Amino acid sequence: MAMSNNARARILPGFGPTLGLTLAWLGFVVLIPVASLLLKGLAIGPAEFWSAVSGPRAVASYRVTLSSALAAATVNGVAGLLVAWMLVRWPFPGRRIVDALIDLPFALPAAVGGIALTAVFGPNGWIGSLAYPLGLRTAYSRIGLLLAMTFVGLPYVVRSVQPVLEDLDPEIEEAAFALGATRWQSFAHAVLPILTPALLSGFALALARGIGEYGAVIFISGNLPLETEVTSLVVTIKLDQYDYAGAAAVAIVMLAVALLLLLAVNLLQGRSRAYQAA
Amino acid sequence: MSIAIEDVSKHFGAFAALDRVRLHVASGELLALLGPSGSGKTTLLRILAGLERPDADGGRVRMHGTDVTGATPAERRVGLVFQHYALFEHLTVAGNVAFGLRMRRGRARVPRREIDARVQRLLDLVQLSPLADRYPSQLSGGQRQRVGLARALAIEPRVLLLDEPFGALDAQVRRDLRRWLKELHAELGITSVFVTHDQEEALELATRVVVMHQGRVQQVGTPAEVYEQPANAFVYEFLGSSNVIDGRASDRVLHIDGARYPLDVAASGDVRTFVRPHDLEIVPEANGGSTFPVRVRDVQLVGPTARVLVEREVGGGVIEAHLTRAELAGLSLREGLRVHARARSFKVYAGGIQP
Repeated sequence: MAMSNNARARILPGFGPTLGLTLAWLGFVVLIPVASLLLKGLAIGPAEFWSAVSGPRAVASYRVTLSSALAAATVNGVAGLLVAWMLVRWPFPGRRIVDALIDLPFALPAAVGGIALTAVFGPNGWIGSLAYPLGLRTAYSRIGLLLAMTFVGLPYVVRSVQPVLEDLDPEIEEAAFALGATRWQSFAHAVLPILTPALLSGFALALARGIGEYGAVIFISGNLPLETEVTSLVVTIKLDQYDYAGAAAVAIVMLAVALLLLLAVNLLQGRSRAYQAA
Repeated sequence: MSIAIEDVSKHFGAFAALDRVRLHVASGELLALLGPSGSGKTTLLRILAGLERPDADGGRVRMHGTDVTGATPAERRVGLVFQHYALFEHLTVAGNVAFGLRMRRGRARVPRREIDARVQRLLDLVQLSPLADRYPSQLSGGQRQRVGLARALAIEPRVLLLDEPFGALDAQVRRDLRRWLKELHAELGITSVFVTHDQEEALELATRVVVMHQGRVQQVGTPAEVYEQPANAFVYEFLGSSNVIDGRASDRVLHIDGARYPLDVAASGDVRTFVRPHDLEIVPEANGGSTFPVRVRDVQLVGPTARVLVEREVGGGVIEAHLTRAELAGLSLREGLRVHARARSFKVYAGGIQP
């Protein structure tokens, strides 16, 4: 049987070089920069590290960034699912144009997106001028922050869910319908569980993008310290003040939190696709 | 539960999928809807299921005398089995079977204990109890389709509708499952309609067969009736293999390359004569005006039968005769040999050349 095992392992040739290249590349673009960040941040010693990461502006920025990114990813989870559903199930005129537009936040420099959003949602903007009199500050506020993060995160959810939805057999819904399920039951019990892994992966990507977002956010959030200042901005400010170690320390905290969140989502995702482990 | 289909028509754009179909399904029947693809058989099944509606002025569907034309599948209480199973991949076998009962809310709600008991009974029925906790992706095609059947039966349907239930399975599994379904139907006695394009499946399984073509019912009858007395040329050609031999009819006599056969239908001029390969006899010598000369082209042994391809010497064209091995042994046929053919029985449809 050793023979057949060996044969199976070699059906795809070039395992060695491929693995080597993958690891080298990963090390080059991810691990080495992250390691140097860790070295820089941890070099200053525990006391200084703690004072850098526990300052009131830093702590407020963690809260603002995380809560906004979570909220934006949640909004995108719902909106992205709806958009993907529309694109796959309803052949409306101009669908291909809408399909192409979805990727715009990917292609647009984030700062351009932020400026565009500010132009629309700012006090003199098209929507802002309607919202402000109602007491809704759509720019230079948490709302603006949320808008920016939602804007950059949407494509991740749509592009994660869309292919799964395209592969979903419409007969599944007919089967549920024939078994007496209502439309809502059929969606909740037959369709949604199949989409959940993809939805979670889109959610995780949108969340990660929100946590790390800088360009789109700084133009519309107003950057009020302790209120709408995001962690990436706190890092930049520290860099501007030549406090490289402090900047690295705050970045490490953000990195750790982001890793934990992504890990949690991945675990959840693993559980939601238990049925595929055949 | 009897079903009456009254002048049902269905158009998709300009295409007439069903054209004034009339059909009655008796209670407890196992009815086959048989036809080539595009014949309207699946559309008819979907209309019976309530997944599709007839045209606005396109007839009615009644179940047990009640008009159900606008009713949902659940209101009709039909159980549906799909060609590609359409199982819920994220649920176990037991979860799939329980689905219909779990969805019941309010007054119709089924207590958990009762659901479990009923699921257990159904899994026993389809012989899948040991696999109750597996997921569909861990099952073979035949097992999946039995889950599909148990799931459909769980809601205690009045009618069972099966859309090409064995279409995605390989030959051996197909035969086993067919026999098993027949036994199950005999045991449960539930009115069942299944769609198939496989004539063997329809003839073996059904109590009655409905042959469909171009959105119309061509013939309804028991398997023996439709096979032995096909109502028209389409049904003849669709059910089993056939030779089409051109002949001439005059004064109730059919002429094929000099052979003369008495004719029982009023036809004259050029006619298409249908002969089943096993009704074509090969003899070494010409015999009393009932044989016509042919030349052997090829002999293939397929299991117990010999397929002999012969070319008509006068009229031209290759036809096929099926002989037993014993018959073949008595003939010592070889390629190019001149022999004679005789039709033991044949069919000519009135009106001369049929489309």
